[in-house]
Amino acid sequence: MNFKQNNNNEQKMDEFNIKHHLNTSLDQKGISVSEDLINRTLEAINKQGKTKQEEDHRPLITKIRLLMKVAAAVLVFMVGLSAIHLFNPSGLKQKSVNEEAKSFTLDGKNDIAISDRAGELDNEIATKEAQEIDDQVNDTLGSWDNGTVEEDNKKEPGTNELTSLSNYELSFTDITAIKEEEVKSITVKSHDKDIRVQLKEPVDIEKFYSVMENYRFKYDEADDSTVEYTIKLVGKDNESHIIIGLYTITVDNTHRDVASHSKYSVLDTSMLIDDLKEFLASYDN
Amino acid sequence: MQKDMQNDNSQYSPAYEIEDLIRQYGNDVLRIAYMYVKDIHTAEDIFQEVFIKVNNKLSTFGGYSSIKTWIVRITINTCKDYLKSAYKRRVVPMMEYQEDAIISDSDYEQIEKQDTSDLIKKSVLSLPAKYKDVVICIYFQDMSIAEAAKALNIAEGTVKSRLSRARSKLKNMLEGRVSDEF
Repeated sequence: MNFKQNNNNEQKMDEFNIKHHLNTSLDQKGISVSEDLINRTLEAINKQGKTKQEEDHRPLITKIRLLMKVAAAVLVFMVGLSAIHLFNPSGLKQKSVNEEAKSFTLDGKNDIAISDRAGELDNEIATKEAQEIDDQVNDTLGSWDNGTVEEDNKKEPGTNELTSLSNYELSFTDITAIKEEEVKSITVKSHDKDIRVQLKEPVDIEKFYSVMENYRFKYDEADDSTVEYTIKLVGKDNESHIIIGLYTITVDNTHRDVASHSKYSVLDTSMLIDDLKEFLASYDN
Repeated sequence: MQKDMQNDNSQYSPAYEIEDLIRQYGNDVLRIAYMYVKDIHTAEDIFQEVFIKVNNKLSTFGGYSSIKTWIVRITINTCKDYLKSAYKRRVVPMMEYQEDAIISDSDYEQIEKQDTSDLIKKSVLSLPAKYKDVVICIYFQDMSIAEAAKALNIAEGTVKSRLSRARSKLKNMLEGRVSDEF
């Protein structure tokens, strides 16, 4: 074997003649492109092009239905969250006991001359009443829990309906719920390079959306602690905070007092990360 | 032709030009894919996926690098995404076990019986991914340090240090086995 030098750079010296040997070995194994593979690929490209055209002509009603399903899912989530807050046992018990304690303190002020024994009796009554309140709360929670279980059992087909949402492909506008024309500012931060760019000009916002609209997002439940980019979108009365990790995209939307949290994945996260890198590079002067 | 492609992608009309790209860079794409996934059928699937992506993204190709570097980058990313999803599904190609595990004496004895090209190929493929990336770009694809840095989305300094480490690892693996030929 001869030493082969690709250029004068010692660093690049291919002393094992790797290229030659790799090609020889791959030739021996018959790893090369056949006419059949080229034709199959061209066929797949044409087929994909036709499918894309059909998708582009998908009636508006389908997209509206999809958005309605997403909105319904968010609403169910919000109602569930509110119900948990409303029936939170510790919160209710604490509030009731505090109110009771307050009234007993007032009673104590009015009956300042009552003996210690009377004070003890007051405590006993307070404890008993608190116990009754606890029981009432538990009964309420018990019946609520049972109802939920029954409802859950009844709603199994509905659950499937929600699961089927993960089959839908959503656009960037769908997942952020902020249209391009409503955006006031966009802040993009690269955690790898520590670059932060804020966009306010419509032309920049349009450019950013044109990058993100190349991707389709699907619901995903995978946990991902990695952070490559963080993006903050500020609209008229809503905000969207997006974390792009190596595997999933986490989106927190707030619209006035209503908040939602969702996770998505894209087909090719690496490409998305690369595209964002190129996008930021164009602003990094 | 290639020069034109590198400098001006605005002339692409996908129906015709994508075929040119497939014919010009297809072998590189298929072979790189094979070196990552180590299975010809999967490599062919990746080949198709890469050129579908190339076709879809051609209009957004910014010309920050040569078209070849861009296609190689898409290929490597697609392979890594495939391996990542295979890992998530806990599906590991059988060849990976065999080729990544050239560690015992008996493995070395077996390798010694094979011809030099195959031995070098196996050694390159057994390198950890980050070293294999730079070897494939620099040696197999004849890229410059700067082009490899763009293709792999890492700093030029990182390419240099990984290349140096890769060479040292290859030396350790190959010296004494193909020494007569050097």
